[in-house]
Amino acid sequence: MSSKGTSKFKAQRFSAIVLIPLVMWFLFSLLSRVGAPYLDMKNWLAHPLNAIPMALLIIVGAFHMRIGMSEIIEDYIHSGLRPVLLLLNWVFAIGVVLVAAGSVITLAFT
Amino acid sequence: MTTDISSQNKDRSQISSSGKPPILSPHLQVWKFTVTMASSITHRACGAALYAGTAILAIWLYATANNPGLYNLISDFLGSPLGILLLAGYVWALYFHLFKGILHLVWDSGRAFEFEVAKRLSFMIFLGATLMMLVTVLVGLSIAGIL
Repeated sequence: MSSKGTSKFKAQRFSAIVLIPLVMWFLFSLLSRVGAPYLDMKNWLAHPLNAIPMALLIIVGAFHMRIGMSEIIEDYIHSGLRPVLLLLNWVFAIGVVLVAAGSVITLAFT
Repeated sequence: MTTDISSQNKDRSQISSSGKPPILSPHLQVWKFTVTMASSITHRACGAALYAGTAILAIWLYATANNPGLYNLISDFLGSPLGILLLAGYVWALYFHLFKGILHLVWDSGRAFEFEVAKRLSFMIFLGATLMMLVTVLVGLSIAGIL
């Protein structure tokens, strides 16, 4: 009973804990190279030590934000639009992972 | 108000597997203003804003990896006054969601629930997010050579 809600709760907390260091890394590392020329930024991102945390941030972040947005949709949308929005929420999260994490991983490892 | 919540519960019961309506949080219209409720609503609003910001981050990462023209276009936009305002808002939301998220983890462990403590911590999160955003934006602008 209610196992779905509990696992969602745990998944949201677990991803939150993983995101704490990743978000701090993201803020500090991007801050130190704002406005860098294209090739500098590309070379920085291509390094595995930067590409891996960036890809992790995107993947765990997308996982976390999909759950958060599904809670917002379930709280406020009570019409037939709800399943449509929940599906779009999945599409958006998967799209972000494919575009962002996909770009970073191909850049670093091909 | 009661009819509003009970109709929400009826709606929820349709998707509940146990047959019992799951617990809903009251809608934001039924709360009296306190700093804790303000921080709760802001936490959700920041989450939604970061959700939208992630689309920009994804396009920016794609451009950094594959498309110098697009990268320069985005860089120019983010360096404009509107872009800096957008970035400042994104950074504020990121700090706020980070700090409030940590407070939620503390609350999950059963601590810091006393009303005065919760109130003080919620206020400090607004203050902390604002201070850290200002520091971040000022440092960022000076590194980018704009300041």
